[in-house]
Amino acid sequence: MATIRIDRLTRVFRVGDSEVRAVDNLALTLDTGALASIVGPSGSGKSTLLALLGGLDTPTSGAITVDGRPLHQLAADDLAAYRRTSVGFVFQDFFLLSHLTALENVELPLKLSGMPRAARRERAEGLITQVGLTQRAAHLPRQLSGGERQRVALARALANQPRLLLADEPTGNLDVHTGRQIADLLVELNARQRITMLLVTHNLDVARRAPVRFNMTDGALHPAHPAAS
Amino acid sequence: MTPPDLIAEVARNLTRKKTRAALTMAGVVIGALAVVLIVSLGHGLSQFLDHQVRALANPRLVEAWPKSGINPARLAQSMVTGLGRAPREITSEKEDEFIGAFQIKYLEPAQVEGLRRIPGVSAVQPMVFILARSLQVRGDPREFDTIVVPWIQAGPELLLKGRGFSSDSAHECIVSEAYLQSLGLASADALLGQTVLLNISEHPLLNITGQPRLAGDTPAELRRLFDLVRKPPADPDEAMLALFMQLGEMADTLQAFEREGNGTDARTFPAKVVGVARKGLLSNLVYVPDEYAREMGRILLRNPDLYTERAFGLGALLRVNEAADVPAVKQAVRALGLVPRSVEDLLGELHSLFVTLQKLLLIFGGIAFVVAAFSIVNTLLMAVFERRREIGVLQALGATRRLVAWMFAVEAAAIGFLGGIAGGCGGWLLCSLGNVWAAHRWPDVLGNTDLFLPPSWLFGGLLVFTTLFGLLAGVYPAMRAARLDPVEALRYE
Repeated sequence: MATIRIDRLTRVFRVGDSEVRAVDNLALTLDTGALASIVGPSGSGKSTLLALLGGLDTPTSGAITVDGRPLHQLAADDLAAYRRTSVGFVFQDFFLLSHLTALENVELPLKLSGMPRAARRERAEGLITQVGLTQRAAHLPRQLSGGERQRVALARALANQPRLLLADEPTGNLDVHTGRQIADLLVELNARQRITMLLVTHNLDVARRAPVRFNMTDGALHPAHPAAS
Repeated sequence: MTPPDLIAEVARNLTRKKTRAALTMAGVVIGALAVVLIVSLGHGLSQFLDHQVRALANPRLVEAWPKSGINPARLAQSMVTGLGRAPREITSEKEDEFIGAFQIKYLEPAQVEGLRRIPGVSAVQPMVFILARSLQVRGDPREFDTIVVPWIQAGPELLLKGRGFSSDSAHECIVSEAYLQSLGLASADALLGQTVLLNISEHPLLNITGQPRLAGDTPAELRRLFDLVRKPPADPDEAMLALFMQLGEMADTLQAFEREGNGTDARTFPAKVVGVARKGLLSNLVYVPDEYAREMGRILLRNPDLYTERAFGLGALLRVNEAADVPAVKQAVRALGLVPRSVEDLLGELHSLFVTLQKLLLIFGGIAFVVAAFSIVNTLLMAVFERRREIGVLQALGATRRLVAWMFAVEAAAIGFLGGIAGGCGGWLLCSLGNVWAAHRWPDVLGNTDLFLPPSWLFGGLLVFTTLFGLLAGVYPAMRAARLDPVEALRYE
């Protein structure tokens, strides 16, 4: 059964008098538990595609369905609920809240879901342990290294046990060694928890770790591997 | 997000920029402080007067006034009646609204009879006005200012020492304990039994004429003056001269009266002190028996018939058997076409006066709140701008626009709430200091009464107000935050 089904998806931005077609008539189908990577030059529409898949943005036209949920038809509150319960985001800049500790950052999605304090604390500690940061749980983001921050961000993305994890340049701000560790962690999570993952990256080494790979140019996806459709 | 989590998050956000939050709160604090001070002062004064009036005024007394007659507010308006509007027609029903047409009207015998027949009324007496110049102890040349009041108007808790009057016309009096201080007496016993002289004056306008009645040739002189004005001589110089000469003659006549003695009806009334009254807000009160008071009151208008059945008076005082009957008696007074007035009405007027004063003063507190509102809006807009990326992250993690709006609105409400607490506490502290100061400044007047008396509802009401005020001020920044596009917010550097 397919997790993601995208049909003739288009997202147009208006810049002054001209139009920019960030995503142009795009089609994609990914099965549950798939690990896919997208490689492409800057401005090719990768991040826009992730924003559309994550329910942060709405398409100009076309259909986008995740786990049977038609995102293109959902109201703002329903999209927020979708982000809260079904999607995890990992960003290049980590986007941790600077005034919260690592543990509190991981707790944040659970707090937004209304989970009781004790339960969310227990789950956040489990996730922090899972990403190997038990000793750094009480540290603020500025007290952590880039790799540690991204691990915290990954733990936060997994907090609500999402069905889909969207990673936008997850290794973009990390050195090669740390980037490889993060990529290992993602691959391991995909294999162990069967979370559908879509990685947008410039790093070809990271991209090659995904069994399903795409190139993206001018808002359109092109399969870079026979397994993709 | 649960409400406790939301509040915890807001508290954390407020402490991130402590100085800014404190400065933003300052406007609310000042406003709240002003409100506490003004409301407490108004309430304290109102309670003080309420207590004083209840202690000294007779709760079983109902005044009855004609519907038309003296109406000071309208009379004052008529002084400038031509200002900015067309002249009004004077009709017999509206004569009392024009200073030139106004005539004193006494209660009619039928009305007085009607009042006497009201069930529950034990006595109907005229409303007596006495203009007293001074009080003297016989044998002591010193004069002290005084207000002489008929005994019927005395309150229930009045008598401190001594006894009541032996009869309605007895030449006796009950004086305020404050006179002990003025006279340099150690105790009330030293004053009891002494005779005081009450010097009663007549109306100042009558006193100007210099004689009990106008001189016989005064009207003739006035007529000549009016003729001169109406038909002056053709030559302007001659007219002016004639006018001055006529005015000079009148002036000579009036001066001649003065030289012959002031000729007034002012009189001195002796009265034996039989009691000492508790000191109230007015410390110079002297109570006299009702009939003796009426005798003194006749001096005012040089009218020997005043306060008799021939000229009952401008208004009546009804003594009611039971205080509980007062509303029914007032209703009956109304049915006779008269206007009733009791202590409760007087207190109601006093309270409404203080409420009006408070409203005026609260405008100043309101200015502080307006400034505070702008401050809150400005601070939160800055916060929205600074936390754009954070808002984007929250939205990416599933926060609804409504939740984002609530986070900022609750932050604004928290500023209002905390400002209300700080202002309320500061106001309470200033009220306490003010009471200490006032007790030292006016110990004789205030006694144990607090000048600044916060009403019981004040702090609760203030907190509700400042919180809602903060919430209201936070609406616009909250809407701005909620409208942020998450993709744009995440891209923000």
